[in-house]
Amino acid sequence: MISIRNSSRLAVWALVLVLCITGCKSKKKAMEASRAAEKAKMEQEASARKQKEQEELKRKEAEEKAAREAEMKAREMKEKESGPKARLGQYFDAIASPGNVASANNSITEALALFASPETPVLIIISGSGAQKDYDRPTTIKAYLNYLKDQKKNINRIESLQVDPSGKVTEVELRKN
Amino acid sequence: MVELKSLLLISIILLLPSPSRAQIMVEKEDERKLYAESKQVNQFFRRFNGEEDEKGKRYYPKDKQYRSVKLRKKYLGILFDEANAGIRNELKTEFAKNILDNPETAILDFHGPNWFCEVQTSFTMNEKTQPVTLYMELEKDHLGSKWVIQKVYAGMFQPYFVRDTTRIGRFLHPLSHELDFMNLRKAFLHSDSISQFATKRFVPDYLSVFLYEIKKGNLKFVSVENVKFHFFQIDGWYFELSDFNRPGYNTGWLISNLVKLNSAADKDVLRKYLFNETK
Amino acid sequence: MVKSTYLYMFFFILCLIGNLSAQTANVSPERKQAIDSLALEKVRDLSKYIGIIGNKKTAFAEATRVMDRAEELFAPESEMGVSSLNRKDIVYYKIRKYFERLMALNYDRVSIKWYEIHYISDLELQPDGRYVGVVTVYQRFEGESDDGLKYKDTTKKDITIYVERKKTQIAGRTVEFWDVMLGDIRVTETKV
Repeated sequence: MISIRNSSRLAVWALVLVLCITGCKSKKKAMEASRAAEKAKMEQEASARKQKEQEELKRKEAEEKAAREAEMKAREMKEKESGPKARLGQYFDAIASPGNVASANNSITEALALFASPETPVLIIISGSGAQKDYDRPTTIKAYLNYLKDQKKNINRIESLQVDPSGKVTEVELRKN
Repeated sequence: MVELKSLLLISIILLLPSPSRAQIMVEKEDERKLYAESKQVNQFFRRFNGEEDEKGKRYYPKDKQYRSVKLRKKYLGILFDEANAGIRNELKTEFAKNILDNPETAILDFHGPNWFCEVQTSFTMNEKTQPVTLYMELEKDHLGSKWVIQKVYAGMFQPYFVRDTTRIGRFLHPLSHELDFMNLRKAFLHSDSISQFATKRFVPDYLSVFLYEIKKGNLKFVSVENVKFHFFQIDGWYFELSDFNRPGYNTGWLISNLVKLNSAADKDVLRKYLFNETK
Repeated sequence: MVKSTYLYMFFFILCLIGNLSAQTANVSPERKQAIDSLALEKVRDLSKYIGIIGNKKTAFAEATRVMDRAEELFAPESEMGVSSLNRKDIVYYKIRKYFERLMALNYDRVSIKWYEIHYISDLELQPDGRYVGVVTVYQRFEGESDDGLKYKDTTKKDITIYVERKKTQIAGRTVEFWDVMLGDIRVTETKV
């Protein structure tokens, strides 16, 4: 796009030049100059067309690639949605959402089934990354689910889960938003 | 079109006689007042030094506004108790000018010397309620710092130490030692006059008496009545900081007294006055 | 019973390991901000618990459970020091007692609202290496009974915050964390 704009700008400049020149030079010379300018213009237009075609091709390729990637991602998401991380996330939302105590308690019981024990540790990162992570005081999943129920705020997202061979969660790492 | 629609909607909302809207308005005004309040002594320090924005968000040395003269000028205007006509405007202006002319040195330092706290408390002494003033200061200790009692003043102790040095009164004659001070028996017979036998240089130490009476179980804490602070940190000036709990925008921790100190003697006299000391 | 034993054991182990480290690493502005917001979160949690305890619709058993949770936010021996406009001297309550009084208040409807505004002091080092700070918040209380009796007040709450760097073992590895505990609370009725 940029190169097209540049080339047409060049043509305009050439025209301006031509106009200026015709003012002070002879007619013949002016004719020659205008012919030369016309030729230059045509050449530029041809090259611009060619560039445009190439870009179109590139764009098409990129679009196809993006579509392929999106499809892959969607497939991954689908897999994730049924995974423990997604399910736990849904429970967190359900327990923290405004509703009656009984339904929140039901969700807590259901969610606890994902864990190796109600005392499964929950770590909450408050800042930092890598080796320099700052945590809040560690808690247990049971206490944390009740916390969500009481506070009605789900402000920590799931950073990672540790799972044992039987598929039960043995450790939760959250990150404060 | 969209703009017109939303404008219409807003004007409809504004015209609705909604009680909840009025409620929100009151709360917004309350909130503005609460923002204006110097809510903590910490906030007074930060405002005085120009270390935070009007919402209380802290500035750090890397920030442009940190301790900027412009910011400090703005805050100095709101840190005085405006109801106190005793602080003349010219004096306030002179004080502010002094600070803005020396922005580097005119900084309040929480961990620095030359400021202390005066706490009015009530105790019971043998079942009778008595006021006790505690003078507190910050002291470094191990890894951090703590408030400690520097001095105490209690009116109830005062009569026990009153003595008249202008009268000749009672004394132990200069040859008492030759008789193994046998005249001490008579001296201690009248408890009212025993302080006459102490040296002229004697200054009663109320903190010692205070600790003693508490340990003996005679003196029992009841409550804190009032807290204020005294600052000598700005060279050539003294000011007092008190808490004002009242309606309006001029509330919280504010300068309640301001004195220009012309000499070291001025400062000394004022300090003694604040500590209720005569010597 | 089993629940409380578990919890007790959990915190016992925490305390055991935690006290080993009271390092006074310099706190960078970024870290300070993270700790500030953690402290503020604890204050918000407390506000929410107070709302649940004060709510007349909360069942007794539920309120008791919430009181337990709220109490866990506090360092032991924490007190509330309360004064009002017509009573200047401070009345002192243990935290639990304060919650119980709140639950037992004789109003049929209670509304507890918190102003958006808050103020967080600097963190200062204590002699024992723990940090201490104060968070100030404002609360609006409205109580109404069926016979039309109304009571309203706005209180300023200055809340002590203790921050301590601790270490614990989780699944065989050492995790360092910031332990934020609430301490004494000064409650002053304010004229807005």
